[in-house]
Amino acid sequence: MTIYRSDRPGSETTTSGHLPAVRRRRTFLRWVVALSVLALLGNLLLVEAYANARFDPDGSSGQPGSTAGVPAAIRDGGPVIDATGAKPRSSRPAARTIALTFDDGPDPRWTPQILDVLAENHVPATFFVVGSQVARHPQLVRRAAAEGHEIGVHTFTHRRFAELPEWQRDLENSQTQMAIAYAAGVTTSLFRPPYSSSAEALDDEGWATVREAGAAGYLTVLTNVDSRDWTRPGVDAIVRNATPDGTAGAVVLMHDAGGDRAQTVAALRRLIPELKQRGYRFSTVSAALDAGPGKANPPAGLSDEWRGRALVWSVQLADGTVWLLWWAVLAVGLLTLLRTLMLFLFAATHARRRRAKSWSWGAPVTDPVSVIVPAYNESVTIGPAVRSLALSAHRDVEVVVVDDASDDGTGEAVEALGLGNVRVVRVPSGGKATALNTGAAMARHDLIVMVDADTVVERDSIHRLVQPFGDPKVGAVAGNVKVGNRTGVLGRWQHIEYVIGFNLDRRLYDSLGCIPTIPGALGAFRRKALQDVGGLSVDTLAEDTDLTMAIHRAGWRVVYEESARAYTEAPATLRQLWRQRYRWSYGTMQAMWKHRRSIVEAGPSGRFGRFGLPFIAAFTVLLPLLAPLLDVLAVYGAVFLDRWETIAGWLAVLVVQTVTAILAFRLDKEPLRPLWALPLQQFAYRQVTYLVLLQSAVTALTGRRLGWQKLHRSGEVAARSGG
Amino acid sequence: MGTNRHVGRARVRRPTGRAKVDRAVGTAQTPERAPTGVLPAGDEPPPPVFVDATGQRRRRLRRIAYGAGLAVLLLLLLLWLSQLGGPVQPAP
Repeated sequence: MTIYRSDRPGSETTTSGHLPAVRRRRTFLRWVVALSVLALLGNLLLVEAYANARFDPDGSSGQPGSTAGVPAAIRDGGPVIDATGAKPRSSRPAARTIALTFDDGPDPRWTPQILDVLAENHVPATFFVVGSQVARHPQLVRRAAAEGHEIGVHTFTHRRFAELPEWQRDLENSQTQMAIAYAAGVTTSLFRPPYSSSAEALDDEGWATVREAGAAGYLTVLTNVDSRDWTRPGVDAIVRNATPDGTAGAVVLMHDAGGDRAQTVAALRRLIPELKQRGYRFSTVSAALDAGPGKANPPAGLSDEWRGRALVWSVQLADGTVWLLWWAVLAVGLLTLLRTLMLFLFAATHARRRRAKSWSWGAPVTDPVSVIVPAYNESVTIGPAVRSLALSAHRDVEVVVVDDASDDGTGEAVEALGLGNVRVVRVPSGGKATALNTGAAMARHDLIVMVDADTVVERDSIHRLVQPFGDPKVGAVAGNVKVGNRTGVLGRWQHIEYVIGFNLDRRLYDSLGCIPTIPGALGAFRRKALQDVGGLSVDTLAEDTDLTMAIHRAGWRVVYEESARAYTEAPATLRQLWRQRYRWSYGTMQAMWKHRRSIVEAGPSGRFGRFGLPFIAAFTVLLPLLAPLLDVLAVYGAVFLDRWETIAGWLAVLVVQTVTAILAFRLDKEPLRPLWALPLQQFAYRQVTYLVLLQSAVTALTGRRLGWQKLHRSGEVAARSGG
Repeated sequence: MGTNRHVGRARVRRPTGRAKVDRAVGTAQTPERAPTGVLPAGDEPPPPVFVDATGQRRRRLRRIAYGAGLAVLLLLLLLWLSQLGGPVQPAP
């Protein structure tokens, strides 16, 4: 299909007409914007992946390693280890003193319930919080601190500490401190490593963690009474497990997050009164120590609070973004599924109806036809194109070539063919739409076919194309355009796209009566329909789409005749493809915007505006604009989520596309061989199609004026038609 | 017509005078924008859809985009600095 230029070589309108230096600066700034969008998205996804590191509940600890390096005094000592000094000391709560500790929180469902139970019983406790959870529910930590409970660090993402590099271990605790500083305005000197239990169970790796925490100033708080509530053994068992032997003091391990904690809450309601009755008193960890170091939660500095604020906001922003992304992907998935089902249903029905013996548009149409071929510098391709048209098997065909001020001898090339039913009309430079209008005015007959100068038709194409005019309500007919140059991957990709577009999409649009475009490469019009809408207009770059929409609004039927085939020359390089698609998508947006008022109008215009226009907008602009989501999440999933699930999902999409393509090829009786290029389409072609759309949308928003350059012609299609 | 007979001759008289030619008083306007019998070519074409000839929309959008872009980059930089700028440890 021709990319017809509406501006001449002299007028350099593809640029904004600024000095090169200005242009370079603009390009640079454009990159800054694109980069910042990507950087923001990348960072948010990174934060999300970091804050969502895989989470196993406590207790599922791995194989204990060697214990040779752990001092005997520590192994046999109490659950609280002070390794801040040169000589590590351990201590235990005083007799008849209980320090309740809750790990893994805060949790929006269970932490408030536990806080309620503690408040009812006037009992303080200690919460070892996971930093990423604090960032998500800072108000829970604020409440716990305000109600007199102590807060301790339980790392940022609950990872097995020994497996992390040193910088990450530092970062985990540091960031948890920041989050606590933002949430409750305090810092903490209490630390409990994930997957830890009692001092007896410390192995060398665990001991190294304790030493390191001590060096950073932390008191490591292990446990000596494990309620084992994370296994959900029943309320009785939890109460039994959490009750210390005799009168010994205890640090009791419980959980306020990581699953259903209803049993923990119920057990607490019984455990606290029972222990109180036995003469136990409840205390926070630091207050329970017989040789305590004093207050564990001193107020935090302003800078820590601000660093915490930055952390909490970015985690919440990342959560929100990813939530939004998933919903958008869900919407895209459902819309795509809906579209695929509609394509299958309507295209198959359409094909069956058209192939039935009883199908006819009305009386056979043998009225004379005028074919208009607008041409600007098409001397390579125009000869074969015009010859194929002039030799059409229809009773009376005249060909009007409108030579739009070509300087390469296009007109002479046509005249040299010496065909009796071909006329050349030379017009001053004015663009494709004007050339077509001139051609229509010069045409003698009332059935007008418009064909691009790089397009070769079959012998009976023109005859078949005008048959729908047997129905007096039909005002315009779209032909079946195929890619003539199918060599190379790019040619095959476009071939696949055209076959799908013309055999599924167009049949669907035809069934619903809202064909958006009569392709410039092959389309037929009644002169009356053209007159009704005032001919082609020059205010959009997709004059064909604009015209088609206008004809819809004028109340004519627009139909598709799949048996009228034409072979066009598709862009052979990515750069040309980009230009062509830029013009198409920008022009389609222009046309839709131009006809937006039809939404509120009455009659056939309103019918098109309220049904056809939104439908076209959803499936040709909105859905493709959301397509990059698929790539973003495919990369995110492959890197941070389950790799195999991501690949499976991606393959599922590909299978759906392949099945769709096979159906389209079958409907058009095309050999399936070129379909091998379909999987490759995912890696360059798909991205081009949505990036072009994005660029068009930005151009539309900014209101920049565009100029167009001509497609380079190889003349490949023309050569093979035997011109 | 198969039979094309001459039935006579038109009479040609001598010219009876001359048309008076005055000095030219100006040039006529060429009818470039005049409607012709064939083509509707009278009016100025409508302006292209979306195009903002003044460039004002473009300038405003560009300023917003650059401002937002730089703000985002600055915030990201601050975030990284705040998170990696030295550990937060318990008060001694």
